[in-house]
Amino acid sequence: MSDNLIHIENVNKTYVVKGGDDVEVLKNVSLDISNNEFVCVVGPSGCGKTTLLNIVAGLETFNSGLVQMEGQNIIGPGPDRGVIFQQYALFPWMTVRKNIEYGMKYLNKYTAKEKYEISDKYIKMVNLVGFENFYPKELSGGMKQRVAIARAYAISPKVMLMDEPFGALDAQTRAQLQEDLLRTWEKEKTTCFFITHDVDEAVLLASKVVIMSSKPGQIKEIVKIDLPYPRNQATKLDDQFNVYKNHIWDIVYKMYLEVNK
Amino acid sequence: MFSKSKSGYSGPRKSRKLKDFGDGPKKTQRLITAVSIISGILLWFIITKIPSINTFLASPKQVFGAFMSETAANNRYWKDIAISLQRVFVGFGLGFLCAIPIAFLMGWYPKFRNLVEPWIQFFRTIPPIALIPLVILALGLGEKSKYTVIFISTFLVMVVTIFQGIREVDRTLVKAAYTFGATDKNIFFDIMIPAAFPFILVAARLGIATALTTLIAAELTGTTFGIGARIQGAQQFMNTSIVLLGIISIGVIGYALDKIILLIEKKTTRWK
Ligand SMILES: Nc1ncnc2c1ncn2[C@@H]1O[C@H](COP(=O)(O)OP(=O)(O)O)[C@@H](O)[C@H]1O
Ligand SMILES: [Mg+2]
Repeated sequence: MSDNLIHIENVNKTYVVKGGDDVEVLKNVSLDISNNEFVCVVGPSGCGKTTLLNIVAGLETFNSGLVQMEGQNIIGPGPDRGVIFQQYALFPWMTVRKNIEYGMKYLNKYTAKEKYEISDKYIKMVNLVGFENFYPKELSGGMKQRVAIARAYAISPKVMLMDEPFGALDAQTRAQLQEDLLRTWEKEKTTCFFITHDVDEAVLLASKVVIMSSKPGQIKEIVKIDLPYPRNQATKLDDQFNVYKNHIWDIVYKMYLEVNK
Repeated sequence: MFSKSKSGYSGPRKSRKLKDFGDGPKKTQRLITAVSIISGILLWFIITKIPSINTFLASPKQVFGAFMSETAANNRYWKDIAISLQRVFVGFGLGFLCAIPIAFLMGWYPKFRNLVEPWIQFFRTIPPIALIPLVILALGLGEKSKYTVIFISTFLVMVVTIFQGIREVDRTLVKAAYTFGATDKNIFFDIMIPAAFPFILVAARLGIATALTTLIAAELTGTTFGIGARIQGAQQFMNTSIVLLGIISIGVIGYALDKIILLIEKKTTRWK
């Protein structure tokens, strides 16, 4: 139990829509995330994945239930959780380095020199040496997401909350960033809560895959992925990988058939 | 093997030049601009040779003559320019200083926005020139009434533009800042202001253009000094060269002020 980092219990969330029916987005969602886990959430578009992540991030309210981190209720956003948005969310008026340093600004923990050194370390980690003084508009999508990842890691959060971070990238860039993320996780072991709609990606990265169904969003099944780390793209050729993948696909496909009956 | 055939290979493809909506080469740009300016002045020179046109449109030579005499005769010209510029800067400056905080307050507090927005939208539809008689009745013919009219007109354009800019700030950036532990105050100073800054400059450009329009309208009635007053006075004496000199002076001032703001924009928003 002491190993438990995030505790989500019977969370319900309904959006009130003006002049329409209320949307029940999450129904009795319960989930525990332990320290050093890599949890991937898969589910059809609109099933409430983003809503769930935003609730954990403290960016969204919920109607009932319990959401805790290390036994404390989550009441708002904070630097103990690093959030990666699909659309990068880099500050366009700041260079790569300034973006990364900005993340550390409100920690009031580091001097300017320390911030500079830490940003250097994470710029190296995401392979962006030489791009320190570039503005976001001068970077490709993959590079932007690398900056966002460096910025989040630089504040040393207890958990990374990633909302389809590679969803907008081309297949090759995506494969590269998946590997880089695996390397980082294998080294730093920062707990990851990672949303995707790509089953391959989920099985490749996760130690635990959470399958959600939609309307209302519920947790359908949790699958532990017992493939050894370190993993890389070649892991996808493993027989066991495909067993997991087919199993998850089966569930996702059955849900699809049910919804479209 | 490579026998000639009508449908076969016929040399390298001559590629079509496709429209890219770019600016074209810098050198060509400069050349065309120079040609345009010179031929414009030349055309002006030629058409003012026609007597029936010259009765109302002074020639370049006459305008230059007017410029020399106006600057010589107890510095009338520079005095007019200075007083007009002062009116622009005071009215525009006040408008700018009020528009920024009010636009931000509107963006920050929805209640404040609901309170003031109907008034701003209503007064914005009234041409500022229509307010001149009322302002003169209230404040007389002195400087105060000029400042006030320019202030009102520039404030209204700028507050609307800046507010629009604040509304367009990407909300994901605000969320991202919150996740780093930003307070509401941090969001305001570190995110909203820099993100809205380009719109503040756009607003300033619109404000300057509005200020000049309102300035001339305000100077056409009951004032002795200022560019507008000088144009009006010269018209009564059929002095077409001074009329044209005044018009050109306004154009030069507007152009120069606009260029200054563009330069600031270029220097400060390289990230755009
Ligand atoms: N602000 C909102 N108001 C009303 N409905 C919303 C709002 N945000 C999301 N929804 C609805 O909630 C459901 C879940 O959305 P989301 O969490 O973004 O799903 P996912 O990330 O899984 O695609 C969708 O049906 C969406 O239309
Ligand atoms: Mg989503």
